[in-house]
Amino acid sequence: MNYNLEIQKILLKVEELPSFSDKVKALKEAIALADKHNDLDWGFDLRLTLIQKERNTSKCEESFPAFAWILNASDSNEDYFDESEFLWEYKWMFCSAYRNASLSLDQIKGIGNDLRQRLKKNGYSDRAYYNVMTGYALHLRDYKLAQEYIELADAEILDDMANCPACELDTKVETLLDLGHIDESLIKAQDLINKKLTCYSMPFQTFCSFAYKLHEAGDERASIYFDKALDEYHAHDQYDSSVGYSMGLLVAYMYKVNHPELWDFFSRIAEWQIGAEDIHIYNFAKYMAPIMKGEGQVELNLSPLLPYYQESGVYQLSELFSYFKETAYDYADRFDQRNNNSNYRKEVDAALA
Amino acid sequence: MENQKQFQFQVNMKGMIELLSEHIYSSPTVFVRELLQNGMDAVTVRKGIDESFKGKIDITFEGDRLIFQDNGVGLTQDDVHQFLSVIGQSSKRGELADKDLIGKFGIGLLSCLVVSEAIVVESRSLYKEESVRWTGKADGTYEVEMIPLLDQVGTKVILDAKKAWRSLFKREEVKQNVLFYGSALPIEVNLIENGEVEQFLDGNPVWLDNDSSKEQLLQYGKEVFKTRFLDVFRLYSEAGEIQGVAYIIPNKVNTTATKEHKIFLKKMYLCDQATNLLPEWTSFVRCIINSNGLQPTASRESLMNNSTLQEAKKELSDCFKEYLKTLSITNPEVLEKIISIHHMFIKALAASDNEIMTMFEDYLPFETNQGLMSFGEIKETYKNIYYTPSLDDYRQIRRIAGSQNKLVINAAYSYETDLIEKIKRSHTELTLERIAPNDILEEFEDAIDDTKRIEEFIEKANKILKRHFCKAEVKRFEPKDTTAIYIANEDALTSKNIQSLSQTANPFASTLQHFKKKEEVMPTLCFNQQSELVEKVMLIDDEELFEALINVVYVQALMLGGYTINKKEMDTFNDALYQFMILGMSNFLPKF
Repeated sequence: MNYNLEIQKILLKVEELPSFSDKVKALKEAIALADKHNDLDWGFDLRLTLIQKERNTSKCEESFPAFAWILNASDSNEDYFDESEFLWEYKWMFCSAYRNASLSLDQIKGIGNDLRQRLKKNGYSDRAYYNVMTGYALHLRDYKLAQEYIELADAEILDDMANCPACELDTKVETLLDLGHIDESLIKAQDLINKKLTCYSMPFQTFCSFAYKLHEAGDERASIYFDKALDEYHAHDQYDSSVGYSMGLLVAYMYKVNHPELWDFFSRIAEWQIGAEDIHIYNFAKYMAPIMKGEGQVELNLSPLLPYYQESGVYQLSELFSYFKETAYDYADRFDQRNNNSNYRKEVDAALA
Repeated sequence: MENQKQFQFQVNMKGMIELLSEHIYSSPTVFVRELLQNGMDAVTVRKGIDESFKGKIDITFEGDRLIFQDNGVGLTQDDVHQFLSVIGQSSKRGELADKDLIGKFGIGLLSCLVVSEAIVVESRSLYKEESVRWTGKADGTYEVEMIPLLDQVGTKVILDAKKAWRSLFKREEVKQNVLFYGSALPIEVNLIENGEVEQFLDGNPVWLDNDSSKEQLLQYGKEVFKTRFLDVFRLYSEAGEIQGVAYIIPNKVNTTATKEHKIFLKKMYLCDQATNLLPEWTSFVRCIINSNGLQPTASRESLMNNSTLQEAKKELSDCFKEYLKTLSITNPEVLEKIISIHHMFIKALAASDNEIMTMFEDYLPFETNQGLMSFGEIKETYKNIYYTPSLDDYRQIRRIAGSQNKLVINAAYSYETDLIEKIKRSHTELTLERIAPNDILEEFEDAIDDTKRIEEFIEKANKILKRHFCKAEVKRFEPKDTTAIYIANEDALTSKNIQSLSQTANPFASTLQHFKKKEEVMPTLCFNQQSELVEKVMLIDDEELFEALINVVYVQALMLGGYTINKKEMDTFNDALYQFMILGMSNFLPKF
């Protein structure tokens, strides 16, 4: 069969496959065909599609090498590919860079600078760059720096590379929340709360953060946002693992209010950690460890691919606690070592206190 | 503070109706639903007083006028003021309102003003010997007057079609909409035009009748969904008081396509989607269900998500399991057919449900290097079963395993690895082994004879192959004329790819090593000692010729295996050919 037809057949299969991880696997098959025939155009398009699909998962296993290929193909064939076609994906890759604890700060900055130059070269404002740098500052837990980047982004022109308005607003809201300005963050979030601004994951993520963080602050309004988050979750039918962080918050909140669906939700999202980005593994472990505190056992239906899988379906809480605690500290130390601070370890200490 | 006065908000009724028609209701036809609902509720209240009472709704057509008449409990003058004229207040009161009546929000009647300039309600109450007429207009005004005693107890709603909506008042259109919204209502509905009466709903839909046969249900499904379904089974749930049927779609289903169902609430049509209520397996069925216990949202076009709904969802899943269980005994042929068409969904279900897995593992089909086989067949035919969770690995192993009469399952996609791992744990008597391409290599016969010569050959070959991120090995395998095979598991291929990209000049190059799955996993070029060519290559001392030959064998093995050949490898191949040409030509050149 002509390889073009074979690739198109795979692409049809990609549409039919229900899980994003499976779509990525099938796309890899198509990429192998394109590469075998040295077809740059297919190679470029398929890799972009792969990145878009993997973005919907908690993983970044294939996207980074795929993006490096795209960048190399574009740089080695000047004027053949339009850089603006992959600058949006470049923003994602920058975020994936700091989510990987093995990359050094210099490497991350190098990628950020390159992104900024390419944005400029293609006539875009610095807004998109400041958008991603805000995320980076939040990752470093430098909330003041995050606010500075938010202000810098706001001063720039809005163009096609800037984050969507819902995501931009959520970032502002979450930064205020992290700074402890609850009332201010709630006022700021009105357009999200009233769904004037929405996107794939908003306002679900905003509601999850409000539920968890308001509860942490002893604010009774937490339950309102938990209900709203659940409504969004159910209305969305099936969120994929890209919202793993928010689901972790939701489950952590469920634990705190003794919600009857706690273990159902845990079982649903536990397997999202298999092969996930470092930051997702860290967050999940940090939020789940406190849930496992205490004695006794729990019956769960989990994937056999999880390192703590038990065929009997019966799990000792103490064993799960050890696993999540160790994982949380392990990743916290790796991030702290890279970030030259001890913010993540302190977070785990606080979560387990 | 003396100057402070209190004012009442004014409501612009016209604006309110526009709001309802454009934002709350998805279609102007909902007035049919609201009128059916009011009629049904009025009859339900009357039945509460007299159980044997037989309710009915008559719909009369008089040109552009439509009259909906029920023989329910009727309204008094006080009722009319209180319930028809206060928006947001339903006439349904007390326990009955929550339990048995459909309407709840008291805004239903307003939907009539979307299609008619005015609503005229004439009613005679069961409790009072009087009749009253209420006329509500779109401008927000209403009039109430006493009228001569109507012939019978009940309520008439008279609507005159707005010009734009005349077509909705035609008999066939109304009939279609009554069927759409009210086909499940336990009430007789008659259409009356020019004195002729047509009874087209008897209040006993086939799918809610426990005595209906499977054939009757399938026939009904065909009429409703225009599909000849594979099978049908009943659905029940105590939570949410649900009853219904599920039809198995007879063809493969695209997971992204929207599947329409028919969801009724208190026997009134509600919506065609209920993603929160219907479990994942409903992707390959179409359901018609009625709930008497779930709550609607204000628009009455979807269900409220609450704990009852979650409980109902679980019970519906149990119905499905029970159905499959029964089918495996009563009609295994249909079961096999269902699994062969919808195995993707059943596998997903089995992966998350041990009971389903145990029941159906033998029926589940898997892609193998011997074709698509059910696990039952695999288990019976092969003592040792191999599987791989990597598509890259499967593609390589498939080629080699066939010649070794090995059965390898492709478990690359979701659920498959989970399923196999679960089967493996529950069947300790079976040999189910995970396999990687390198394992196949291990099973090849070791090279024989001169160990030292082979070691030297490997050392020399490795120096050349290292440039291709590859290492050499020598074994004996069939067929003899295969010079060498290139073996790389998924990790090795990723490492090779990363190795190649790491030499580029962008800021990602230096970071890629952190995305390697394992350190130093190198692909292997396995030379076949049984090949005559390999035997001869081992004897070559000329370094240039040796290098050229190794490079050619390497690229040939890549080609044979269907691997990607990058530019560097292609250049190496061309250089090697050029080398051969020079070496060959030198035999004919004059010696100086």
